Amino acid sequence: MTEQGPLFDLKQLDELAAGSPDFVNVMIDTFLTHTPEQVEHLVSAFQQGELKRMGEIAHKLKPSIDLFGISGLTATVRSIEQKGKAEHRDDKLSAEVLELDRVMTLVFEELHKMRPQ
Amino acid sequence: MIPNPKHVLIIDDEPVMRKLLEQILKSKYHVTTLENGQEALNWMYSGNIPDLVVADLKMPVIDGFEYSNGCAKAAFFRMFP
Repeated sequence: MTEQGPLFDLKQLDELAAGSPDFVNVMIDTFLTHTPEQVEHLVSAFQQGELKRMGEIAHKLKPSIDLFGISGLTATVRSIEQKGKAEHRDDKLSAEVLELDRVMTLVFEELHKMRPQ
Repeated sequence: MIPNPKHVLIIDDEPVMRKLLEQILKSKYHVTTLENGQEALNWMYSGNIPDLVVADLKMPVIDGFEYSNGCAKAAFFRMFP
């Protein structure tokens, strides 16, 4: 949970899975295998001032954030994407990248706990 | 199982979306997934002909537009959607 509500919501994924737990587990595994690296690359691109690359990574992260119902980042990832595309660094960008990194780390931890051992 | 399922080629560099499409389609179609347009062109020029291609546009190496143009250059590939 966050101050605003649940970290993520698998409702959309469950609907697409149509009752198949394997479907959901495969998607969680794929998400946990690939997305942490994407977040690391986004943070690294921001820290190195490569805003265009940062925006491109945000663009790629966006559908996964939507699919996993990470509503706390819905606006944030879009803002990062737009600022990256415009190569515009304002005084909020640093906090937005930090927030994305923080929330995604929590999501990864929670999803890891949900996986069968 | 569906006899002689149609072959769908999914081209996307984003692994979660690639896997999602594969998961959705695999019960009814034979699905191949590749990461970019270059891989797709190489695969097709090796003799693999899909019935349908679902391609992302923004991809590294060769994007969806270049891939489409690459297909259009070969008469053999112009017939599929």
